[in-house]
Amino acid sequence: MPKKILVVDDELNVLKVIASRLKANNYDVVTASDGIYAVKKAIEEKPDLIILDIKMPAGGGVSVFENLKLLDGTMTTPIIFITAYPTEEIKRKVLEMGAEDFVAKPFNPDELLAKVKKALGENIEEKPSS
Amino acid sequence: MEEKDKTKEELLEELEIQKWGLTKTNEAIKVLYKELEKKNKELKKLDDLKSEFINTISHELRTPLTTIREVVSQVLEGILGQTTPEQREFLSICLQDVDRLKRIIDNLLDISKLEAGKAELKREEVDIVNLAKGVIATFSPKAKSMNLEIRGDFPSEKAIAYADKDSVIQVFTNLLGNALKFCDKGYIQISVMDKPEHIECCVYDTGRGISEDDLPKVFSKFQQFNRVEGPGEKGTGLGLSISKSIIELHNGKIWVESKLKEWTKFTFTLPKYNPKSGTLTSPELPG
Repeated sequence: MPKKILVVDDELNVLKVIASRLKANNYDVVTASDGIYAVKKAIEEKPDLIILDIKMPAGGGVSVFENLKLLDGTMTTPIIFITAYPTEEIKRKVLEMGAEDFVAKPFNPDELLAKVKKALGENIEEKPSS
Repeated sequence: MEEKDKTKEELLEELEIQKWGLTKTNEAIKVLYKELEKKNKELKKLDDLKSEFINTISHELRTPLTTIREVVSQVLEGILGQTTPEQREFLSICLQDVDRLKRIIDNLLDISKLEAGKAELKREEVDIVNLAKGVIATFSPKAKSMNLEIRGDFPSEKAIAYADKDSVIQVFTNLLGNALKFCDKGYIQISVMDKPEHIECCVYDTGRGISEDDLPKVFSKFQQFNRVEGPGEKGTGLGLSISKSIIELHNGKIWVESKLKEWTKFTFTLPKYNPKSGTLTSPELPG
């Protein structure tokens, strides 16, 4: 059974390309383009991992993160932040908050996949099963 | 008695005049102070606008680059279907330039932060010999593919500086990256020396060299010399300017020597780490 990843980003093109990359690596992907819908989707779909953009309307990424960490069904779901503001300060803050990892845009696809595998507890050499 | 009284009156008058003068001076100072406060607020506002501008531009440029890069990568990798060799060649060219654009954006943002005094150094005890060895290991495969040798010259086993590790890696990466770009034959050597006053690092190459006319411009922005058009990673012309700013932020110095068509040597210094006080020992530092 493929692992399920929820990708959240207000930029629809970014959502599309990340989803395409993850599907090509045999992950099941659901998407959301704002914070409120992201929390709803997370509760409904119970993903194994969430990739979450930091800067978004209707509940910025940090606010979504905090909400998810309070809810029973999502509090232990690992979350990787993705951002076009890759400052050391932001990286430090999100990791201190309890995020699993941090990816800067534009990302290196190998780096993104390695971090996804690590967050899902997969061996980096293996391709996930379809 | 009259003269005494007169003198007393004159004194009182003088005091009144002085008092009036001081009052006027006080009022002028208050007006100047208010002006200064106003200018300060305006400057702070400009500074905040500049930071916001930098952050906004960063976001607005990086986001479409993300999409472009991923689309091109996925087509190139065959994820979206088969491609012809010619299509793959052109897509590779596109990818190279997307990555180059990303480097330009990163460098411009670094420069902006450094010039605005917003770059923060996370200083700690850093073994520069170990750090240099790591950089050599990173670049060795590329050097090997270009039939170039990267040598390390480390007279001491350790050389402990009080520095921001990531920034120093950035400097070494810029210098070594440049050396590889401008060196067709021979070797590149990185040396680290633990001197009494500071740690001194050199990146030497047997490349094309820099003319005497161009030497003074080497650390200026957007300057590239002797770059021959052809395959290989193109620079942004900002790496040396950034390196200079980083070293100066560390209260170090950076300079270049070169002989055209023969060699180039970049040298920079970093403050040393004092194990007793946990601070730097370099006399160049402010009190």
